[in-house]
Amino acid sequence: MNKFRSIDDFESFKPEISNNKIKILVGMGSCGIAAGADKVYELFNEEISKRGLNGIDLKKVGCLGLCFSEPNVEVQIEDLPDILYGKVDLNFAIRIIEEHIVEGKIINEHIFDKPYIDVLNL
Amino acid sequence: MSVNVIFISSNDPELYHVMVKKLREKNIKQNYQIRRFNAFGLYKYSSILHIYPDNVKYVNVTVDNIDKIIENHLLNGKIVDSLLYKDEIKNNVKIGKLHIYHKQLRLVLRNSGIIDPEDINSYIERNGYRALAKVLKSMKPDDIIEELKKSNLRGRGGAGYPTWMKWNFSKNTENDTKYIVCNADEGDPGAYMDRSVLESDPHSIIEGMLIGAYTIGAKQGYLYVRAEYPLAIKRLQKAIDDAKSYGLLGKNILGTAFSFDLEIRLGAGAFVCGEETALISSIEGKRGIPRPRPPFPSTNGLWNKPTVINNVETLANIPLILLKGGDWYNKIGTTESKGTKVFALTGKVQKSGLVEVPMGTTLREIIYDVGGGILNDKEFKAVQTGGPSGGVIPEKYLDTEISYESLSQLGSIMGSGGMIVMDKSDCMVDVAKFYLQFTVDESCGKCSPCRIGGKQMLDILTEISEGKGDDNTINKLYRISSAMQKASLCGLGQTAPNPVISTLKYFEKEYIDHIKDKKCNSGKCKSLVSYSINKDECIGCQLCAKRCPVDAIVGDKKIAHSIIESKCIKCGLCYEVCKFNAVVMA
Repeated sequence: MNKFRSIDDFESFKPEISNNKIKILVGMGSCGIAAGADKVYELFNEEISKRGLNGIDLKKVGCLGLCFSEPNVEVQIEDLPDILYGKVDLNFAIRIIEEHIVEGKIINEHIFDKPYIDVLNL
Repeated sequence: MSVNVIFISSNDPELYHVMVKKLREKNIKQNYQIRRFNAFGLYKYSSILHIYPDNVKYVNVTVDNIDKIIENHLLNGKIVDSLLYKDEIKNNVKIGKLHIYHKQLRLVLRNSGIIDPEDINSYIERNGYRALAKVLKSMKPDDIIEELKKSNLRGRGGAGYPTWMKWNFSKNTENDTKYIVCNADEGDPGAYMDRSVLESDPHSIIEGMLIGAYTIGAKQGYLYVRAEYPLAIKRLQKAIDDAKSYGLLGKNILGTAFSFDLEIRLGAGAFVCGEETALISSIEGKRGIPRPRPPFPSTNGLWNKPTVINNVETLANIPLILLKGGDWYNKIGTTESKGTKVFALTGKVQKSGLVEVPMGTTLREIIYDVGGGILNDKEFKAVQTGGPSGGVIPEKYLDTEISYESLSQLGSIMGSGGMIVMDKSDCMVDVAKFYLQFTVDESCGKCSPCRIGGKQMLDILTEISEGKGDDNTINKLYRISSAMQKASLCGLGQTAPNPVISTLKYFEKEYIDHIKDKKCNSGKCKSLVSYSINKDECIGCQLCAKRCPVDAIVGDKKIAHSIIESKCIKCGLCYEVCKFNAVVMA
């Protein structure tokens, strides 16, 4: 990426937005990592390539604020509600891939309410 | 085609099964995914039912009225008004479509958990650096000051000084060299708001600093981060490097005449370096000790140059204020305190976490609605705000609306945002002792009121916890407190007595119990507690004996046990695990 040479240059810049319809966000602040989020992230990474799944954005994000349920993983799939899973260990991560991502079935456990609305969407 | 999902959160586990059964009877079960979820705010409602994609929320649904929802909503598309969840919108935070959801409003944490903190494009996508572009394009430094003045943003480091005034002093002080510093030396026990923002949204801090630098005329800035935050440091450095490669930091930013560079300085773990004059010393490479103010850093700061020092959370607010306008921001909060505050909600609370609420939210709302109430349904005792400079607030003030003013009236402070919830098993003498031990350890030793006073108070508190005080003990605490408050050099010493004074104010009886009756009712002060086993109640289940870490409990199976006093370390585990109330604490 080149430097922005002027304000207009910057304002007309649109970062490339992925067209992928599935997003997996892993909360990876220090607290999430301490609870094992980095291992969960690696597992997602491996499983996605091992299973040859396409159209998935796997993203590291910061703190979701729900310390009591770390590690937290949010799954966003078009046509399904955004789901925040808490206390995601490696076994549960596999279930997220198999049930939620592949079959489109939200898992009937570990779902936590996101207690806030995105202020930029209002 | 969206999939239909029904989310159920209820105190009654039957509700879920009844829903599944009824939908099966109506032969529409196959159209829905029915899922259990953990809702916020359940303490107020017995249940919450969320229907997607209609995005309708019902509360207080029971097995008796669930038919109404199935018949009307699911089968006929009619909303059941009587059970509908109505978002409680406070007048002071309703701005257009902006409303708080389950008490929270995320301005500072707007990108946390949403963007990839290591990807600058992820930040730009969400209006990142737009405020900087706007400022460079169309605003003069005075316009920015004006906007901040309208917003009434006050410093989030704890003291609540108006940000626009700080910036204005530095702006109006003539000097070729000026600095802006971000104070990220977060050190209060139990507080991690700043770490979270730095780790989750580092560019928002850089953008805030850029706008500040442009306003006051600084060419160099420093991020003073404690070395104990390695991930925050790594992500900040990556953010700085990326911003430089985009031309958003460095020489001639976005092709304008404005140049600004930013460096990270690491704090080596001294709490006092969060005090701004000590922080300046530390950046200058000297020992981190405070100096008297005035002169204030805004005119005589780093290397004696005008220096603005802002807290992380303050800076994170800046881009949003300039994008949405000072008037917009000013509508959120109470008369005196505007905007939101991030709290690190910890201690004996069910849902500990990082919470951002509008000023004016009550302590009860934070602890019960957001935090889900007290852990293990125990009884609430007090909440500690403001860390070692703050105090405890008892139950009768739980409905206090949070603001800088209200908390200091109660003898605590807003502080940087630590909020530790305590239940009946916490001893207030022990709490005061804990915080004082912290400030004694962290006192830099330069001035005697803090160095000697703190130590004296700690000794007295230790005596009280051992049941050794006399009639004069509490008076002595007050006298030393008053001397420390008046004569200490910096905020650390001036506020160090606060935890003691506030626990004395609200829980004096507990101190007297220790001093006169030699009793610690919560069992925290080990010297005043002893455990024994009531032979009539003990059935000899051996649970306590198995759990005892020092093998101080003896007794055969099915025969009453006893505790060997000389071995007992008074940890209280036996008392906690006994199911027959046979272990007695005295």
